[in-house]
Amino acid sequence: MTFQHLNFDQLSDLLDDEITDEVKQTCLRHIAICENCKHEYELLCKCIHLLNEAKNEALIIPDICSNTLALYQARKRRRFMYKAIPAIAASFMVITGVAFLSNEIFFDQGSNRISETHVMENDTQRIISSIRDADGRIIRMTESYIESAIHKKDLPKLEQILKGNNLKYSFVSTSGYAITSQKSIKNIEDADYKLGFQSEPIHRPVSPGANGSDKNSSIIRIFK
Amino acid sequence: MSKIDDIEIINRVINGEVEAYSHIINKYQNMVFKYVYYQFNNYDEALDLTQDIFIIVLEALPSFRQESKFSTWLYSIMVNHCKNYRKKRSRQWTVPLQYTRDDEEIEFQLQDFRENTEEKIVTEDSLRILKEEIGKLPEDFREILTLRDIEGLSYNEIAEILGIKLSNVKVRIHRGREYLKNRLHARGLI
Repeated sequence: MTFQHLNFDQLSDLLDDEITDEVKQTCLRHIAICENCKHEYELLCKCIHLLNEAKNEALIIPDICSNTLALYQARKRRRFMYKAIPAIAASFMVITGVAFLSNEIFFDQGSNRISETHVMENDTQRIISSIRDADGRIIRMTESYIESAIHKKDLPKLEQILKGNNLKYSFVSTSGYAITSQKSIKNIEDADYKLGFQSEPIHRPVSPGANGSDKNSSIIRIFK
Repeated sequence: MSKIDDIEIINRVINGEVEAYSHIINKYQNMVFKYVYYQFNNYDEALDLTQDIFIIVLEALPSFRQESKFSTWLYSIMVNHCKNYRKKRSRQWTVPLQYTRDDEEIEFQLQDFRENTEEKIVTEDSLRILKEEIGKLPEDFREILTLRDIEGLSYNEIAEILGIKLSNVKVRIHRGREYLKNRLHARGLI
């Protein structure tokens, strides 16, 4: 050992006292007589001394306690929010799904309504055509009936046309004439009773000549 | 404050008394800050990272099994966080903060109570060069020399913190010191 230079590991171990006493003494004896190893050892000591200077360096650190704890609370809240996101997303999906299904139903109902309306419109048109075909004159149209003036002799013709057009109808006339596709209605009173739910007075007084009618014509209402 | 005190505080914090954690911060903030500062050589960055580390430790406190010293456990979290941060930072392009404040480079002030001005100047200059050279060290060397020669930890503690064998600790310390010694010698500092 005495005639062989110490390697850096040995010097470093010597500095840290990480060697046995025996090896330590041998190293120290070598350093005492070897200028080269002594120089290397001194350089290492200075290097470590500088690092120790850094250790003693007083860095000014602001009080981070309150900031750190505040930051911790904020992150905790944020994390809670992030955790809640899947739940919120799931709820949103459920609500959307339910709304979608409801819409489907609504849309379906809507279609039915549309088709019903369409049928009603068709019925209306067919009634109008029937009245015209029977040489009648349309006086008034409501959602539930069409009022028209028609010559008394043309009433059977109108009934025939309505039947021919496959229209289910009930009509009453102010002159006491009643025609219906529903067998249960036999006379005006029956029709009055049957159609009472329409919340529309069936026998409104019609003065002769009103609405362009004369003694030979009847004012009739054809209910859809 | 002894290890028992640390454990007492930790138990209080775990039981919901989060304010007690300020004792832990006050006790270890210099140690953590110094390590982080020497890893990144940037005051603002070191301050942010120090806060992050204390928050991570606070969140991880329930998982502390008390098999090692609290300080060792804290150090291992600190070292890992710095490694992760370095990896993350290496993927980002950043502008140093000191150039963003009105184009005026800002250096934090060192508190030095030595009265001898000449010694003070020499020391400040030496420290500046030392920091530069530490900053240029390979990551493994910088990490281990900071723990050993700046923080003053034992070989065993370092092995535990870094999760490596004692023999590897020694080898890294030797290589790191040799590297730094040659650099400082070349700069005329030693």
